[in-house]
Amino acid sequence: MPGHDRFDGEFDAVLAAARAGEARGVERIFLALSPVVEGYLRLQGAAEPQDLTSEVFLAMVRNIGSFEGDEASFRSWVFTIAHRRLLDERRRATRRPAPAPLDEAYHHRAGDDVERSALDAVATEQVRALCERLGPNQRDVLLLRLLGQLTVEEAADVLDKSPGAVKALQRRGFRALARLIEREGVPL
Amino acid sequence: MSDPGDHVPQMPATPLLDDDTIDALVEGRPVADQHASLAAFACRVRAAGEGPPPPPAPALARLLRDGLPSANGSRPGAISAADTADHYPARRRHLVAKAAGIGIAAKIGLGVTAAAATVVGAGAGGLLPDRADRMVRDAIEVVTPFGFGDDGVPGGRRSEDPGPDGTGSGTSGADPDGFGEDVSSDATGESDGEPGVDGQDIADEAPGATNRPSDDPGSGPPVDPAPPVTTGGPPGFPTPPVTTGPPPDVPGRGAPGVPGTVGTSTTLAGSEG
Repeated sequence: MPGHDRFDGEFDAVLAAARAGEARGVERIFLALSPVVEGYLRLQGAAEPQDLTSEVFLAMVRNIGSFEGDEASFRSWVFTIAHRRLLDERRRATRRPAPAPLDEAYHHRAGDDVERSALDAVATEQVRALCERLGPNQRDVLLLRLLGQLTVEEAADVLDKSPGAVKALQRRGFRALARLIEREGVPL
Repeated sequence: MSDPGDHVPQMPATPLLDDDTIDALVEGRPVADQHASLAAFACRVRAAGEGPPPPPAPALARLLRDGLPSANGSRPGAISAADTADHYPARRRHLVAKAAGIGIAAKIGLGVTAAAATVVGAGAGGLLPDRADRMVRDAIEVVTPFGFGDDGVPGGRRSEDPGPDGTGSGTSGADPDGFGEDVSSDATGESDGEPGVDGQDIADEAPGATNRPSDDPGSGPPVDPAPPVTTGGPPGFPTPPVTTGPPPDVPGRGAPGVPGTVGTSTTLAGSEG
């Protein structure tokens, strides 16, 4: 499965360093996984994906002592934290009105190629808009599978569903997407 | 009879998706042309996770720079919430920066408003000295619809307040059960010629006798040397319990393949399910 080796084969050493509270261990994990976690939260429509990403990694550091497993398990564990933080944010949002977006809320990360960054942002927004029109469970499954690169079983674990339910949601999600794209001619 | 070409399907035909195609879409392998749009979607989704890392919040930035104090010899994994607490998320940082940029007059106005709110709040909570407390309460009662009873609780009834029936039978009115109708002879002065009780002797059977201070300063009830834990709330308001366990959103994780302890997460039930 692509995307599972983001630690150049050094996951065990990185995990040990992070569990010992060493900056280099925490940094390696953050550099490896924060882009996908932030992408997941952004495409899920999180109001403040950057802050939420930081919360996820702070929670990860706090609880890393209780983790045991390989890189794939670790990735699944981090996405479990991310998904639950997302649900927490949604619950909070239902209790109080959403604040007006900040100037930098839809930020374009400054890169060397401004045009490329802008195009990426537009593309991400198109994908996010498509995801928004899926059912929430379908969206969860597709994003965990595509972006998180989780297996069916790992996604089922994150979402507290059976693997069979995840496979069914995945199939229906893809079919719904195909209909949306075909019917509305969404440029991708 | 219409020609076969006249038939236009109401719904666009959705290409069948088999398991191999879905696996190929997920893993980024080539798929048949009829699934090109889905492949493009999957590619865009993956690209959303390939950017640079997001800027970390201050607490996380500190961790990334310095590591944790526990790295200096204490047991691994023992990381406290205080080590990783972040009190300034991006929105608050933005507001602080905004406040720093406003004019001096606006800052003075904000300061005066905050001070006034503090005094009013303290008065409402009964935290001021008696004289100041009474003044603040009177002021609040003048400018707001809230009233303070004799016990200082907002909304409490004064003795002259009308009762529930609106006839003036408040707390000072005759009690329907007859309480207060019989007055002790000590109080009326019939017993010893002096109205009112002298207050020197209180029966041991009277309520609260165990908490009553004695004349001997060394023989009073035991006093807990530890001050009560307060969280800044006004007196009379319950203090929420302090929990020190892990946050409920962090799943436990045992050995590989063993699902962790799943907390009470609310999965979004959808009709697509």
